Amino acid sequence: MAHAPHRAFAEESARRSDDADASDKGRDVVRLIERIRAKYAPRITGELVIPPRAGQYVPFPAGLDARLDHALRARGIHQLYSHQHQAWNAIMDGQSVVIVTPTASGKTLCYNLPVLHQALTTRAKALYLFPTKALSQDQVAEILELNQAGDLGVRAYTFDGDTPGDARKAVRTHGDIVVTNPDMLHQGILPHHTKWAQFFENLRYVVIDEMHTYRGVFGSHMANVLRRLKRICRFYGSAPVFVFSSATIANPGELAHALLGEAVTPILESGAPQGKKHLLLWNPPVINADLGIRASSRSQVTRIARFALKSGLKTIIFANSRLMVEVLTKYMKDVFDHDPRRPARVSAYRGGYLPTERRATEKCLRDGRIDCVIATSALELGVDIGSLDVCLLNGYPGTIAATWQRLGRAGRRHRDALGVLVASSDPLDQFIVRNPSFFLGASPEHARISPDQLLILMDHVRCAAFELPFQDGERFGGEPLGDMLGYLAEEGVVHHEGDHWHWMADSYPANTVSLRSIAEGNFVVIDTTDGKKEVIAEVDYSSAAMTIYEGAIYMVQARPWQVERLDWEGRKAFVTRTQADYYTDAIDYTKLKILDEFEHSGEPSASCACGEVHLVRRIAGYKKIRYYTHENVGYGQISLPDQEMHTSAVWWRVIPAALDSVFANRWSALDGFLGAAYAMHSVACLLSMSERHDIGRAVGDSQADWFATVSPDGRAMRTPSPGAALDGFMQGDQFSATVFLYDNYPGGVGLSAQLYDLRDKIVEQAQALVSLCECREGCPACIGPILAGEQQRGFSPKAAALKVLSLLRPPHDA
Amino acid sequence: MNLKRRITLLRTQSGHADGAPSAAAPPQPSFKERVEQLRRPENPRTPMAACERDTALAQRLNGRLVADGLIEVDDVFPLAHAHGHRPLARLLDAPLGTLAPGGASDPEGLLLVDTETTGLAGGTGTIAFLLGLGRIERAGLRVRQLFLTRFSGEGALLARALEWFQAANTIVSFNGKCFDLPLLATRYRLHRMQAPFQPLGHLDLLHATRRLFSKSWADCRLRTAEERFLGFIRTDDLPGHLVPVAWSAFLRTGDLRSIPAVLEHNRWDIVSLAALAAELAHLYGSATHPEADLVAVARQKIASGRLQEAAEHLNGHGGRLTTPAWQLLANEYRRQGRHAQAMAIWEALAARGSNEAMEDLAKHHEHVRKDYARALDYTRALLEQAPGEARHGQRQARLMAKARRAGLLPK
Ligand SMILES: [Zn+2]
Repeated sequence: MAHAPHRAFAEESARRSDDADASDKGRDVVRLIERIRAKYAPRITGELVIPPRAGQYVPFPAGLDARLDHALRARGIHQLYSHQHQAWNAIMDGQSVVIVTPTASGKTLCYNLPVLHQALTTRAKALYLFPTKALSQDQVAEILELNQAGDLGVRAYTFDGDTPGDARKAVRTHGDIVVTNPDMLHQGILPHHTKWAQFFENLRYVVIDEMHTYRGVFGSHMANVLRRLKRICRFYGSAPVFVFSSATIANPGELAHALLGEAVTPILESGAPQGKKHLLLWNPPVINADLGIRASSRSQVTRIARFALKSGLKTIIFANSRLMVEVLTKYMKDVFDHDPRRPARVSAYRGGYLPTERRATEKCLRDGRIDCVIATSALELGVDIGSLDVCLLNGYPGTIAATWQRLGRAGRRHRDALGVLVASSDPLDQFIVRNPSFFLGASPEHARISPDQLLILMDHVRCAAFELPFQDGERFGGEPLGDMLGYLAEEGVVHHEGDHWHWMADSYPANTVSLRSIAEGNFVVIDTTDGKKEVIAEVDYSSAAMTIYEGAIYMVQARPWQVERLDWEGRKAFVTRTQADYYTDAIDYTKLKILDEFEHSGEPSASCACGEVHLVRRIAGYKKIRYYTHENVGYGQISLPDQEMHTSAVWWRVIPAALDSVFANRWSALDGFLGAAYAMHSVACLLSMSERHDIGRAVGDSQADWFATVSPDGRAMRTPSPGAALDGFMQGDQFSATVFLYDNYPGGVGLSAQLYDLRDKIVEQAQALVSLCECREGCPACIGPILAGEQQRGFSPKAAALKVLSLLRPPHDA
Repeated sequence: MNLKRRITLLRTQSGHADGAPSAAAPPQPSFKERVEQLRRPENPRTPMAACERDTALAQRLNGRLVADGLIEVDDVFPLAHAHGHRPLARLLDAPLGTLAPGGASDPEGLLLVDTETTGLAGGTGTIAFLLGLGRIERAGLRVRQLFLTRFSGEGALLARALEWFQAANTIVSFNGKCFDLPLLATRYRLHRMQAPFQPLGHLDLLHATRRLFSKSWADCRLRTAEERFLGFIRTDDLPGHLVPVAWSAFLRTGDLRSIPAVLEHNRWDIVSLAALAAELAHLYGSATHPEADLVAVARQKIASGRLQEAAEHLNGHGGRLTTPAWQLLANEYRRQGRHAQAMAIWEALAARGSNEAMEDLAKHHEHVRKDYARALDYTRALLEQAPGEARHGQRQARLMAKARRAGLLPK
């Protein structure tokens, strides 16, 4: 209710008719589900029902500013949900909190309420951080509406790259609530903090929404930006309370703690009412059994949407790219908006549209004048669009958390709602729809950061030294600050004098530090189609060799580009648009050596450990693989310098005797390891909310004596290190085959430590992934592309992978 | 592995150019320099030694150590001193009010300000290690330079500068609005002191210079203005980009060889500010310069309401070049309702073939004097020049109708 003030008013004043209407709609949803189930049962791989929940209401807190009280009532809000009240109490008590409640549960009021109250009563200031500009603007719009309703006079402004120069001063000096993003804080505000002196002196609240997006490299940077922010606040004598809000992940409290460096009170129980929710997992039917090709997710989504609209149900469709939004919109409009004289029933909503267009669409949605909206993640949260009955996801959004956020768009209060996740042919999608368990119970997704990653930490020590001289004995992060400053002194950028370290270089360090990468070696991807010269993406140094070699097909927002030229020294890849019907897969030879083992567990026969490794990677060539059929349609050579990396890794190892007991020979055992590694890699990405290139994988032994890889013309080509005799390893006791998953960043970003904690789950889920896959001998959705000839050889790579996985699985729950 | 090796290794592996310190780092001292530095007695190892070093440096600079880490150097340039072509005394009778409309000021109220900084990056990490101030006193132009021998002297520097700021009413700088003053404001803020600029006017000579010379000069740097406008050529000047290098070398190794040159560089900046303020004011007054933009001068006069002067100025430099300025002046007269003056200008311009003036005359005769016949004459002449121009056609039709109604033309 609090989250949707417009509608809330209508609901409060017309609760009865709403209830009557709700039960009708509820029945419609149930009927729709029955019809779908009757017709498409085989396509539904999972179904779950989330029971309805009654709202838990609490009166406004005593002492709430009268103007704010009035504003809320004017917006139709007469009481709070229990979690909003809980947040109020904790925040007013000076505790930092993390709020984890579902989409549309009035999350923003949890922080807006205390912030506005304190702005009105004590002129306290607040800083809001959102990961994107669009979200910032929505937030300001919402505050302004409340402001207007109660004539509060609280000044809320966005401050980002689009803020005009002459408006900036007003924001700095008059803003009660300044809404910005981490990059702007890092590059535009902290290094100029003296201009913000008044603001920092009175800063009492820092709100960090979408906390779950601050994970991995980005999150590690964010933690350091917050260290800098707190340091500046100390200088101005303020100690703000931090309010995090997050989508549902497995470890919100831990993540908030890691980001802030102090304990944070979690608020996890939503008091918002919720209707019954049905969730269907949907796999498109196989249309070519020989090639294993499935119908497109788009065809399925439009089919279900047609059903829903014809049943009179308001529907939202989420697509993962802007292009797909347009394609789906055209299709739906062809069906429902072919008569130009009638008002449109279908509308698109995505980033890139003008704010006015978006506001108009939002209003139409709230007023119920549009029956179907097709959106990107831009509509995932924040914006109030009223209640919808059906939510269709065209493809898995990449994380379970984002899936729930999107599904949260359908259903309110007393109504039944339906969400359908329609899988694409992507391996991860295929995996997800076969595992309904991911959606049951607690979130499987962990977000971890590594704020003391040395390069990231050093970047921010630099920035912090620029902002304020460090003092001897001060602390910043987990490494000895004196040593780090000593390093910078040798570089000539700081100068130690008395007990202070002063910045003395003619440079502005924040400009060279990107919050989304490690160090400065990033590549830019430049689109040169039709004589253009436009930067369309950035690629981390560590993943460049694997993704943007000459000839590679590089995907941006699900559209393919081909790399024409790679300027390694200049860190540039020149690409053009392509219609290629294949994708490319790099063939890497990775030699890995264990330098240090931190932790260790398991049986003597099969064990798991994590620690520090050194690896040398050579990208030798690439395969061209046709979409859908996954057949190899060509190879290319790549000539790039070897890459070396010290990083952290987690590894699973099986002793030769155990292998020999289940495999006829060690060559097939290696095939099994390669397949198992592929599946474990997929699962590891899912559980740690990582992109595939964040984590590397390798199969070899621990001494870099040999390693295995999938070669262009066969699986498991083994290449011993120069001078080592391969045959020696194929017999005897020296063969310690190992699966490695490593942080694909120099120095690591904390992923491996987390994967070690999740080690049993990874093996277990990988087993499920492979055994539940409908293919016969293996496919890219489970153990990676296999050769057409495997079957004739009378050998099943899939079976081999499963054997390895069962060896790796700890006996207690085998 | 120690921290330094770990960092170097990881930087190499993450694609940093060479894993070595970044390109922004100043040149490292050579081995020889490092040995010398260790031998050099003035390299401070103790506070006492530092103090001795600073005292020695102060003497060398003809200044005195006024606080820990702060040397103050005073110089006086008699007003008869010629900086380039002209004596500084020109400042005394310069019409300073012409430089900034409304901001008239006597020369004694001016405070010349220029800083030398550790860089141009801005933000809180840039420090002014030398603050040069100048003001006119009975004895002449007094230049006061506050030089840091250590970071720790900054508080004293800022505090000592207060007195000069408080005694002034207008700051004179060259690009100080964008650079020097915001930077000083940041420094005051970091030292939790109130910056003293709030009540002061600010004359940024860069803007005045740009208005007058940007059409003739490739750039409008202070050095260019000195050479082409003041006729002042610096010899053995320390190039600007070496100024921060000199100070950081001094801090790190105690090498003070370049410090006198840094102070001289800054001192000339201050003297040039005085001379430039004087000459620009005179130029806006009545002086001339072959490279100055006369239109800009006229515009400045018009903007400050000195129309008579503007007319005289334009008369003095008659010729086609000034047509836009005349036009501007005529418009200003019209705006003020001084139609006779405006018309006189338009007629002169029209005689020289200005279509714009003819159109103004047509409007004037139509709307102000209601002399439709004259207005028609001008409109016809305009239509001869530009037969297809719709607005002239429309005016002609409208004028014909008005003329008919007035009985000037047969119905
Ligand atoms: Zn499969």
